[in-house]
Amino acid sequence: MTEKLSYKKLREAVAGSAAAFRMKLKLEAVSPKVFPPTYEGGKYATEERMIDGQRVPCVLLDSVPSQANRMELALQDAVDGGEIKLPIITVDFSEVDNPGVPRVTSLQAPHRIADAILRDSLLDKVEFRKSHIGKELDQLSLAYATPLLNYAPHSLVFGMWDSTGPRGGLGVKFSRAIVSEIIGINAIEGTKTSSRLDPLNIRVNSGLLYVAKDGGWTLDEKDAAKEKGKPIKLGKDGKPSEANHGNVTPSRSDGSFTIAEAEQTTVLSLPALRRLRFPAKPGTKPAPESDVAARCYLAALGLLGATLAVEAGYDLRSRCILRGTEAIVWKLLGRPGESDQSFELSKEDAIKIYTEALDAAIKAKLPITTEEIVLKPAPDLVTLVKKSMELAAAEAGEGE
Amino acid sequence: MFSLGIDLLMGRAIITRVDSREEPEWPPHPDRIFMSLVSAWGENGEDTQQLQVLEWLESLSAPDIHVSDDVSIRKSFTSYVPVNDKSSPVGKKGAFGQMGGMPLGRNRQPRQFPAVVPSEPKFYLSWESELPSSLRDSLKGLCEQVTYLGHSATPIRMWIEESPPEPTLIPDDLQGNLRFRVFGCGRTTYLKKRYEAGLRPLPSHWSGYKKVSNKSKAPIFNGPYDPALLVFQKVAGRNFGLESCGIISEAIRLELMRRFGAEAPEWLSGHANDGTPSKQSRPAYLPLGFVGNDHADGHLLGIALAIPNDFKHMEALFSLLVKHKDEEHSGIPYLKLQVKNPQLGNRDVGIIELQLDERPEGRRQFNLKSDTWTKPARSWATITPIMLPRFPRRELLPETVIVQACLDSGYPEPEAVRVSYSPFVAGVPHSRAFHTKPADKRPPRPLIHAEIDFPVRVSGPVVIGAGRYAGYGVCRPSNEKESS
Repeated sequence: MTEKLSYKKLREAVAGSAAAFRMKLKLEAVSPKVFPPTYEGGKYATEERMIDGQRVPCVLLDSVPSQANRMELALQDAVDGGEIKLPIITVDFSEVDNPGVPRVTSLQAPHRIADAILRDSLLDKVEFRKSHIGKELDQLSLAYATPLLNYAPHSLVFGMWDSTGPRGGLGVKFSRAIVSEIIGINAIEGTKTSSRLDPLNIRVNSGLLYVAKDGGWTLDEKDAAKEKGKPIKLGKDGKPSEANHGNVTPSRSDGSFTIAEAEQTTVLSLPALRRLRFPAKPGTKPAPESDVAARCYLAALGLLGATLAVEAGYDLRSRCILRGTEAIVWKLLGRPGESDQSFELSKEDAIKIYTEALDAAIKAKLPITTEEIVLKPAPDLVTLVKKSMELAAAEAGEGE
Repeated sequence: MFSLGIDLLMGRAIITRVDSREEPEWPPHPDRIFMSLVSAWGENGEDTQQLQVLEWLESLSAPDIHVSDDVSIRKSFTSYVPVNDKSSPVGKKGAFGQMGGMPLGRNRQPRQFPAVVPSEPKFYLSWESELPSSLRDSLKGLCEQVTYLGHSATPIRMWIEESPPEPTLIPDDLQGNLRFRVFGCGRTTYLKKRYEAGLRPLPSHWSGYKKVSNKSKAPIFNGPYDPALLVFQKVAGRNFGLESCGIISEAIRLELMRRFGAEAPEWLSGHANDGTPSKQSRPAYLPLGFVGNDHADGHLLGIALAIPNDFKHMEALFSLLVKHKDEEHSGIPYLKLQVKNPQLGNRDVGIIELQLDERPEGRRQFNLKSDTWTKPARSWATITPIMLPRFPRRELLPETVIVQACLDSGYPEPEAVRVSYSPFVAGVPHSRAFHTKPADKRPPRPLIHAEIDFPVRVSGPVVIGAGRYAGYGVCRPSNEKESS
């Protein structure tokens, strides 16, 4: 029976000298084929791993930044569902008046609290980086990580680079403390087909389509919009497919992989957390106990994010669904040669430990703002977002 | 000695080369490991004891490295990371697509994250020096503070290793074909200054490295002869083939005895006082022929004198070799031999002139290099057939006779012996081409080629069997192929 992780054990680990918590989790593919992310040129990130003394072909199914995003979204869901309290800064886009864009939070923004969206927003009508929070952020360093603990602790777990703050490219960097990847094991490349069967069976030669004068398309030259006296063809060459009619010839292309199973490896680095210090003011000495409490809180947050993401199941991208087949077990890695301790961590326990860690941090007099802080986007940003909504709607539908 | 162990916690390394961010660096250069230690020191308050550790490490020479070179390189791909200078979801070409969980689009720029998956995620740096006990605790603490190597997506753990595995790469500035960034005195101060100035560090020290050959680790059996052969090159006279080894070694024996004068000693005559074959250790005359190649025709390139390790008359032998009246070769070991063939009524069949080959080994033909005949190997094949000391019969196979002959000749018991009258090596004559000196009352001893597998690597020269002093049973490592 594997021991369950407790707040006490977590605190011992953080206060000690162990190197990391590591999880290796087996996942199975719900569908027989998986579709890994493609990168430029449609290439897949394939590699070979040694498993039980054999070289086994593998493929990257979910990268480090992508895994981090999933963990942040899982945390966002838990906050929205009232399961946990977590400092969050939200930019309220209700002015854009589009149900597709209600808000963007510091969990969703790509650069977290340092993201340009927050920078281009206002807190009580003051530019965010010139507000009292912004000024605190300007003083961030490894030795004074307190403002991030207060307003966006996930930035300390997933990493942050304040590249557009007052120091520009030399802005403060907090490297990530949690690293995660999913690999498909015994990955054999297959082929995928893409095609469309037109229910109306409109043939490609049925007619030449023109852009109509008043929008849409027309077959009649007289009703067509004109450029230099000539009617403008719809799309490239006026084929019915430009108006989404007609069949698409099936094409075969490499796209899928069959895998035996997938494995997620997640590492929470404890030295990365131990570098952080949380004095009340920059330049002052922090109380050692409060440092441990803060680091423990961050460790609990990291473990929680990873656990929630696994529990939510991985719908990685269309036609790439993975689910966990076993309990989540974290190994506490000490010195090689010494036996590692293993701990089971369920979703309920992860939330419980997180809540205990949060309470302990607050009790240690660390500032952690759990009420949501709301910013309003600056007028220029609102205009840009509205424009992007219009452009997206106007574009012809894309196939997969 | 002491060693640092490093474990790649994700089982793979995202580390780029210093000169190209798209290419992975493997193995990680020692300077990189040092930088992660300095980083840990800098990020944790710049402890003074730990600074002493760093300065001590700087004083050491370049480390030996044990690292897996069986790696898989993750197929290189470009991913697009969102920029942070502009928040706009609209670009010149229209709206940016939605990303992940964010409802707005963002401009993205290409980046590469090359990764290497080694077959073994642990690697080690080792030094001959002893770690001062006063620095041990500080170094241990420093190792425990190290976070990642290269990219932050490569978390590691580091520790002081008491029994590291044997190195696979060692520093060698002269012959090393690899070059790694290493660290030296002043590196910590340099790194700190660059960091404070907001600049990336540049490499400062480099060392050549070379791979440690696995072969050099296995035990070697030293044969009964000194691997320093006295190689005599044929410099004039007619061509002889390997099959003439018997008559030529006889010619050498007679010439040296003639030079000695009356009462030639056993080690020269090969006979004891009662006329029986001598049991004293004495030199063997090994024929060196052109073999082991498509064009090889087995003609004689020279003769090597193999001196037994316990031979006591080296000075005398050497003075005999230079004792000749040939002015052209005055002072140099030289032999001009009138070769006779007893099968043809002892008629003269030609002259051969041999001179000690004093050229550097690298300048000689492959079959005249000592190394060709002495390089340690497990499998050996005959260039001249073995003269079997006993006659094989139904209950006594030639293979069995050869096994015993190996032992009697001073070599280990073979694991396997394969025999054939045909040669195993290109250019070597068939056993039947060799003529042995007919003895008065006995049939000639059988000659047979063989390939012998020893259980360990044996250092040559390897010469086996009854006729070994006359050049029968000379072997060569059987995996060797001479390049044409």
